Amino acid sequence: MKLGGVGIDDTFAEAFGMTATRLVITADDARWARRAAESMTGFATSVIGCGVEAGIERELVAGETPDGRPGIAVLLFAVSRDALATAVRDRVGQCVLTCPGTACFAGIAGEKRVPLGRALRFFGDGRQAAKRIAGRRYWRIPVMDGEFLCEDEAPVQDGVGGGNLLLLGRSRPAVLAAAERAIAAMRRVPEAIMPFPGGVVRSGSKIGSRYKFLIASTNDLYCPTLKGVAESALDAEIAAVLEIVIDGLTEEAVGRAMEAGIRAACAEGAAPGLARVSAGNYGGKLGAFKFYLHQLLQ
Amino acid sequence: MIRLTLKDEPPLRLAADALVPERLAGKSAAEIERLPLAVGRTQGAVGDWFRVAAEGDADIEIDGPCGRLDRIGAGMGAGSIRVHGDAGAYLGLGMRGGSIAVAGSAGFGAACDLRGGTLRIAGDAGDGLGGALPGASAGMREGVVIVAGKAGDAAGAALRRGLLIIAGDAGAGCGAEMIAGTILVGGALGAYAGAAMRRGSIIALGGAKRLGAGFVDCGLHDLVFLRLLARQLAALGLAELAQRIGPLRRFAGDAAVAGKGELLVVP
Repeated sequence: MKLGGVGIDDTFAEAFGMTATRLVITADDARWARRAAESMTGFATSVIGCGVEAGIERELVAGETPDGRPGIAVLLFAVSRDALATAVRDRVGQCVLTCPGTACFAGIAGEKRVPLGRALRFFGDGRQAAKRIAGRRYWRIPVMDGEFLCEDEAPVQDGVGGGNLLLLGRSRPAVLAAAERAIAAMRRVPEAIMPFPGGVVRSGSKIGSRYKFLIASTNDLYCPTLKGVAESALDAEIAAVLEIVIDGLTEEAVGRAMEAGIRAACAEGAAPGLARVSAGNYGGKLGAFKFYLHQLLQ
Repeated sequence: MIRLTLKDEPPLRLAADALVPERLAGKSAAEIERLPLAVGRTQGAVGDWFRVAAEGDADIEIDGPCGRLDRIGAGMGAGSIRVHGDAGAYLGLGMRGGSIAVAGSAGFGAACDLRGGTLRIAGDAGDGLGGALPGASAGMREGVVIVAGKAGDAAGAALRRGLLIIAGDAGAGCGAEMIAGTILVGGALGAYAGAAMRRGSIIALGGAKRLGAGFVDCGLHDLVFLRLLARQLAALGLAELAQRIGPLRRFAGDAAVAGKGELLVVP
């Protein structure tokens, strides 16, 4: 299959079940909400090294947030509810509680929950106060610019992590430009995030390594400098590969984001240098979710 | 709907505990008329005092001179009661859910020991609104009470949880011995509000008279939780009150009981 002259591999991305939540961060203005959200979702590219994968889902206008102020919706994904609880506590505690004027709210509904304000309230040193408003419970924690308002708990839900696209091209600038087009389109898809820097990862990994202490190592199949040295998935014209990893609240969200990414990446055709779009998998034996590229485009 | 029309004003207080939607559901008008209803020590039946019409669902409408009709909606857990006039004492006593709307005013002890649901009074409320039963450690424990007019003394005394809204003035001792929850007063807050309160918020948008000595001025603050409260007010149809919420002066107290509550007063 070709899209705009770019080859679409007949393969699939293999993704995994995760535990996910959405938080809404508000502040006096959109700049400070974004600063808190960017700080909170920093160093959250992969559960392998960061314990959580997180990113900004979208900006919220005042009318969309619980307190009527500008806000940011962030999504967080972890391998278990406990891991997510730890990440939420630490990240909100260090990056949102600390940020001037912010408040933090749960962004999804559900029965399963992780502690949010109830894990952070002790910072109030006994001066914190619970407040129930319209059936939801919040904590008011005194801080130096007033109060940090934080919802008591954040519901969690099953999510999907590890959806991915591999963009293969004849030059690194060409692949990067295609990846940026893809990310711009994928960021418009709700309920999905691309957690790596700028949404793009160059260091795709395989499971395991020759070192006992390292559980993941470079994906040598797709490293262009190893063509001819190690087994390679790249043909002679490929000079660079970039990956886009997608986490979503639902399987549909990941699929929609992948489709949007493929179409945007191929929108300028093959001439600028994008040669192929592929995806990473483990033979279908490890992940519960499979995203077949050809099916996504039908 | 079940329509209960009081034939005459009763000579004594008439307790309407039995007339709640869950107890009248599925009954015909004749069956409802035969339900026991005592006045003082005199045994009688609903039909002695009310004309009853019943068709469809069990939502109740009460009409007639109801100022001596006490305990309307007491203990109700679901459904709705609409009173087309005044209500007597202990309106919604121990109510657990559903809604009560009174077109007129309510007597002593409305929303006493409230456990849930929504109670709206278009007129005024007497003393002891949202208070505790004699000997009980806590008053209203959940739910929303909205009084469009003014409330008497000791509104929200020993409030445990829930939202008590008084659009007009509140009498003396509002929120006294309050344990938690929120009281919002659109008019003037009477003397010694929040006396011996431990936690919770009393919001006075029309100023406050004679604050107790146990309250400490913490300054003027624009608190985020008030924005959420304003949204809840708007959702309850109280947009005018919601629009009046802004930066408020916070008085923490009552220090007399090492309380961690607050009076939030319009500057």
